[in-house]
Amino acid sequence: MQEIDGPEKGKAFKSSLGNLDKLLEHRVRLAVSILLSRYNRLSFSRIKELTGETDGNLGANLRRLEDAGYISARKEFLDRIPITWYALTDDGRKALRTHLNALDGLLQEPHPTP
Amino acid sequence: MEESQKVQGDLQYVREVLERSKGHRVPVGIYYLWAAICLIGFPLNDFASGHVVGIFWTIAAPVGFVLSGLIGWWFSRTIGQVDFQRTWAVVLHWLGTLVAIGLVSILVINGALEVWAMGQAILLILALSYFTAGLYQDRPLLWVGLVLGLSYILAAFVQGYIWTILGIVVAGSLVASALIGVRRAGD
Repeated sequence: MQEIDGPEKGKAFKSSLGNLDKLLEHRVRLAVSILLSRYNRLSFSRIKELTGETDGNLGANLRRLEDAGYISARKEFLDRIPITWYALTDDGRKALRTHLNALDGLLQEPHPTP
Repeated sequence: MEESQKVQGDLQYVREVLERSKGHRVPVGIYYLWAAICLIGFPLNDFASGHVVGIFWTIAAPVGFVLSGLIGWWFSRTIGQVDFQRTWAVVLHWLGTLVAIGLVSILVINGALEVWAMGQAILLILALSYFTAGLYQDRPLLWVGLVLGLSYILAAFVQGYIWTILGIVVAGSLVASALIGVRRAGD
């Protein structure tokens, strides 16, 4: 990381930190949101397979994203087996874009000296 | 500094998850379907009239196209991953191939191409189409494209039952590609 001096030091860095979405700071929720921005719909079992998380942990994280309105869930049956499909909502897409921009800023901008 | 290290660690995790989503699973049913169609359709050139061959491909090509779409749709639901953008790209790719094959007939109608050469022109289009599909869809298709390309060269120089040989070679390469796909998915 490049270090800078002067009164402006750390200003952009703090701004990027401030734009981070608390909900998406958790890596599982971030991974799920990015996956759903890449694919139109993913089933619970597929997300579980990709993230390697347990049912309970993944379910809790998905519920938090759903409660925030970032993702939507829809239940279906395939050969009598219930499947829950998840998709990213417009609000979720917007929040993810803002969060990723902030992350980008955090990694790109000069790091303040202590 | 700790914050950015945590962010980098999280992004690494996300990157790994994304890589996993691009896995090697392929809808092998589509490979078997086209292997069967080619195994019947290609040898027809050696044993049946041009009229019969024309009727076969006029029916088999669009039916195979629709069945491939249905198999792909069922496959995406089974693995729990729906990607409309990719599906659309795949549909356009193969639809474009079908249209190009259909347009070859114009060359025959206006006399620019002999009827006997039409099959070879179609083979060349198929070789290019499978090769490009292998580059950005399912990698095993790359080998099918190469086999078709070699078959095109072979067809230009070998006489007698060449279409029967090609049918067996193409069907065999499709089945082999499907088996490679199944084996990779198991890794």
